[in-house]
Amino acid sequence: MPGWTRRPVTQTGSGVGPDDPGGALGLEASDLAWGPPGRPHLISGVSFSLAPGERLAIVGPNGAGKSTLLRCLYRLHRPVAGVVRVDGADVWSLSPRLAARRVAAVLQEAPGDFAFTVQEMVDAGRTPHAAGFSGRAASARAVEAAMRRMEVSHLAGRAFATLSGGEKQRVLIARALAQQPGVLVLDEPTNHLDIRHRLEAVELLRGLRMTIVTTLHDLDMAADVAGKVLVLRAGRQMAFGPVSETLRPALIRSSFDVEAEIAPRGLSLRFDYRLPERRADGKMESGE
Amino acid sequence: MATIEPPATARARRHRALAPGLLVVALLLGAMAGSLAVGSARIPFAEVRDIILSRILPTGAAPYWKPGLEAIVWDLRLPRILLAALVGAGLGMVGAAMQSATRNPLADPYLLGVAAGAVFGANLAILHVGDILGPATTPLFAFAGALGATLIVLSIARLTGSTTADRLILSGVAVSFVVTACANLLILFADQRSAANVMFWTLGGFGAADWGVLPAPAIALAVGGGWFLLKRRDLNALAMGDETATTLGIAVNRARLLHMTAGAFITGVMVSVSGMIGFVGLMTPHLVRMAVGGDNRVVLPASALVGALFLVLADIASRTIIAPDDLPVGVVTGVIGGLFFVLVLRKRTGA
Repeated sequence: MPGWTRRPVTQTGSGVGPDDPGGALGLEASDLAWGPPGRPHLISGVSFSLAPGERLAIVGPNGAGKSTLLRCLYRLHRPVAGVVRVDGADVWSLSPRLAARRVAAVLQEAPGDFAFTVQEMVDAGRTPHAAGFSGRAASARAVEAAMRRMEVSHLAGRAFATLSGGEKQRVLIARALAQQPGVLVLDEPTNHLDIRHRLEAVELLRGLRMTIVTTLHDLDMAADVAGKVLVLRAGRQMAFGPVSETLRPALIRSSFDVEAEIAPRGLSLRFDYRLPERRADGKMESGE
Repeated sequence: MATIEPPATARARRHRALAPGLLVVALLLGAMAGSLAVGSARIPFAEVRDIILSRILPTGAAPYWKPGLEAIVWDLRLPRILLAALVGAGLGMVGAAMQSATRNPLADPYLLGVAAGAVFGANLAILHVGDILGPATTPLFAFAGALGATLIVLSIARLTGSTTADRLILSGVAVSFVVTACANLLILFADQRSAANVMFWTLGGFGAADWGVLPAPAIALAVGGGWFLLKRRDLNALAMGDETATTLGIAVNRARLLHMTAGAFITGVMVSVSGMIGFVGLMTPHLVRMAVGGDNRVVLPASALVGALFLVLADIASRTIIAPDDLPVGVVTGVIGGLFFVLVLRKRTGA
């Protein structure tokens, strides 16, 4: 299959975030549940723990609750049960501002009709940091470093809305870097990216010296990017652990309803899928 | 199409906005000076200048002008012009802030029902309550009315699901109708003479201006505008979307409520001194953003300046079109604003 013959992603050496004041932070969720008030929980019983600098891919079929889980991590949803800890502290015990200095997010939200330039978008990453005169120079440095890191400096004066999908994504990541967080949360960062930009995104995520949590559709990508993987299905945690030990054919069958063959490739894994055989009664093979 | 620029620092960006900013300041001062000279009595510029100078720096030199002219310039026109500028600056800023806070480029104190609430409060004070709190009664009641309407709009938008752009505007329009109807009821139940006064005041105008009127709008602009300027970064974050703002450390619902309250404060006070003057809050930030982009660090002060310039010019028009009578300023801004809106629509569909 031609799509599979891509070169292995190389690790970049210069993995320093801009200024990098705090460094990566540990992230932990224990027995997390959330649902809208008066409704059944969209996720429940989610637990994982990441050491500083570890990378986690959250995978699962559509509607599994991946985005809901992310929203708990970046302090949009207050858990109905359980707790999210960053560097040992419950995110809901922190002020919104303090939490935003520890956890940054790259979302798919469109920025609306307000004609912000690239520079202004990245600059917004400094919102949670104290302004003041002393902070201003450090802020300007962080913004410049983030824009250089993401190679969007030459776009500084462009209106964000006029950029291509890949450029937009780089600007949003630059904004998150300017925030100088210890944990970076990304929602489907490779959506809408072409092959080249997807590879670049993978390389970038592996090069950042932060704890990273990202949702991904693609298991190949998850194996490329992350050391750990968390599998969700219908709001329940199917598995959490190191990628190669966790993404086994049986788990993929029970989580995604597909048969998978798994082959090692370099340090990563390649997956080959097919639909399960239909039984005589027309139902899918349950796999048990 | 791609304009390649060197990495612009925040300072460089502010410097880019400086030249057009100074231009608008110059235009504003020019318009204010010109406005002193025109009206039912046309007074030469030199005379205006000497009258003003003699009041600011009394030299003791004998005045060569008629005392009547001095009264027109100093006691009627100058406070009136200053009032127009204050109200324009206030409404321009409120529009910019509300548009960012609700993430809706159509937000405006009038569309969101805030101004209708202010009119209701002011009518209540003028027609039925009297000066129980001294000269601040009407502004305070107008603020209370504006705040009440704002809270109703926000809670309706929230009850019906979310504070998404369209819903907020729709509930604003709905509340606006109901509150305006109630304000009209207040007029119906009042005695006829004061009712006629209120009707004329509602149309919007600066004709009643004197020096005693100015402190309230000046304080409202300083306090409310100061708050917005202090929170300009947060307003940017809110304009980028609720979830994004959350990840940037903003407590979104609380922040939006505070900004809407500050907006109600400015709107209430401005309405209490000048009646209903529509479209300034909607139009000004649009024009400004077209010129300088979306960053509130530039948009807020620029909207204040452009709003002030617009109302000073509109006031000149209102005094000259059917001189010696005044056309209500609200009528002037309504016509200009409506036409402007059509142009914006055309440009959008053309783009």
